[in-house]
Amino acid sequence: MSEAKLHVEPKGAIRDQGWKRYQGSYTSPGNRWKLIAARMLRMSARQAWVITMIVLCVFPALVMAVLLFLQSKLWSAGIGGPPDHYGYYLYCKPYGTLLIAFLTALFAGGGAVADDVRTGAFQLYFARPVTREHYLIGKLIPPVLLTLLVSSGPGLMLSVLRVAVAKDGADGAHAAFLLGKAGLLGVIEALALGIPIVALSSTARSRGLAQGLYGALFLLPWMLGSAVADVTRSAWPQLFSIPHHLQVLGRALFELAPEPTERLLPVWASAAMLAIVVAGSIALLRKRLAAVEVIAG
Amino acid sequence: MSDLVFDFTDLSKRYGSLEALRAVTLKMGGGAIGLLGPNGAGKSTLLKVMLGLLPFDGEARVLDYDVRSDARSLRQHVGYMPERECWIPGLNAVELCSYAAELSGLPPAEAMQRSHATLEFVGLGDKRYQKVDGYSTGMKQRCKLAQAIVHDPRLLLLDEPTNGLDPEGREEMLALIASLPPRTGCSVVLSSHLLPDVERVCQRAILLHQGAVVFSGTIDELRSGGQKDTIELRVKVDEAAMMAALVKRGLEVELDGGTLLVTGGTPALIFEVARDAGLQVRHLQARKLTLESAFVKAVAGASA
Repeated sequence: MSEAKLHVEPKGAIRDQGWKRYQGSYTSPGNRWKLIAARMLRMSARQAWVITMIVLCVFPALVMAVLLFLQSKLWSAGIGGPPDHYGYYLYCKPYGTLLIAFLTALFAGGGAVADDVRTGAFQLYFARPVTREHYLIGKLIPPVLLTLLVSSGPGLMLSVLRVAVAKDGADGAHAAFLLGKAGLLGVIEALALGIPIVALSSTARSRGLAQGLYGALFLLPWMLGSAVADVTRSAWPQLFSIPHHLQVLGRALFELAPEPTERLLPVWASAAMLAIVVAGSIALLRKRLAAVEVIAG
Repeated sequence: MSDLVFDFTDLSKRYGSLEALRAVTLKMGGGAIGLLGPNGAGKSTLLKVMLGLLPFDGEARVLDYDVRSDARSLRQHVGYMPERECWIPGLNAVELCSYAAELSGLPPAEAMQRSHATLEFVGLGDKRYQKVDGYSTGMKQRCKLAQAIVHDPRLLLLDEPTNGLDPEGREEMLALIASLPPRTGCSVVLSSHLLPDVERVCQRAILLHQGAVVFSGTIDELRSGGQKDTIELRVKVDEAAMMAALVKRGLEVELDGGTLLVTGGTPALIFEVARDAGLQVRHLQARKLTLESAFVKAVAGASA
């Protein structure tokens, strides 16, 4: 085939579309936190480890559901007591969702601010109509929400099951309170686990470092605290253990007496410590963001 | 609405004992403006003020917005291309630009549409679905420019836009920036320590030194250093006779080697003098300072 036949002349004029001025309206400047939260939520939910944790949290709930169902049948037959403590087990025992919620917060929040520090993304945010408060709220919501999904979802499902298998109307009405308790403990757990990881993320230049710090601050006081508490026969060495405080609040909410081997801090001390952790994390985050230089020099 | 891009009156900023900006009073209209100055001159502080990111003393209006009270509305109409790297991990260029446009206040559909068009405009059309993490330095620079212009700003602040680029990439970036004011209608403030970049893109310049404005005006005015034009002249054989003839006509003449430096005259007058003196002109050229020399002279003058 000749070269002339291979060459086909393009038809039609080439049109340079040029630059189009934006003539439309602008969205309200107050909604920027929603944009930041939605973007981060999409990116966090794309992470394989976050998806894995969300899937994993279903399994302890399934085991607890079977146990709850069996105990409710036994109770109907006049054996044993009401199966109201499974929600607590689900939240506060290491074999429940506590560790999974911790890991969800770790993976979802580790890079929340550290990634932006590493890649200079602050300049992209703050040179626009985005305030530091918008940024802070937008970055806190996704880890807290994803942790809440893990911490409250299975507990709520279990509570619904408990209501469904109620012995009678009075028992059903009593069991309905478990829904509120499960929801409240889920929220406390999500705040206590989701906010500190974002604060730690603002102090690190890499998500790995933030995750390492968070792991150390969560696990070491827990393990060391309980070991020292056993030796000293006092609950106070567990003052810096977030899991211990969640356990104390869980027992109080579900009105369960401590097991003989458990040494628990007073409820007020645990509530105060968790409030300090959350408030301190937000204060640290605000301080770190206030110090961000948008333009170096 | 005023045509002024910015209007500063007695603008001052202190960091403790350091005076970063000293009573800056300045008005500038649209177009491309170079922001020059040695390190620590106050360029970054001035950019921060223009974005409404810093408290300051004095009055500042940018794009007719009061910077102090209306900074967020102002930032909706300003684009900023930072010197340092700036991207969001895990996003491709389309997602990044679209997100940037939404943060500036564009609705999602419009943001996505403009993101595609802007990436075409900066020459990243065929790479727009690649993650920005894997971009080369040149591509990242283009992407930074794209996120700065995607929301169609009226003022674009560029901080060292050719940083880290090879000569070819630098030339392409400068051509792109130079095309922005006529094509998009935005004004450009180019902060750079590379004077050839400013010379290539800008018609006007602001020169800062130790927080004060030591020059503001056209690049030509900066080059001339506020003096009358000087002409370099060489004649065949008898420079002394030519010098005497020129002085006789009231011109200032200086001999620099074999070259006469004539101030205050026109080429026509010089040719007339040469003809009357029976001398042959071998070389005649207007002498202009390079921007570098003008810069050094202006800074030295301000320091003295």
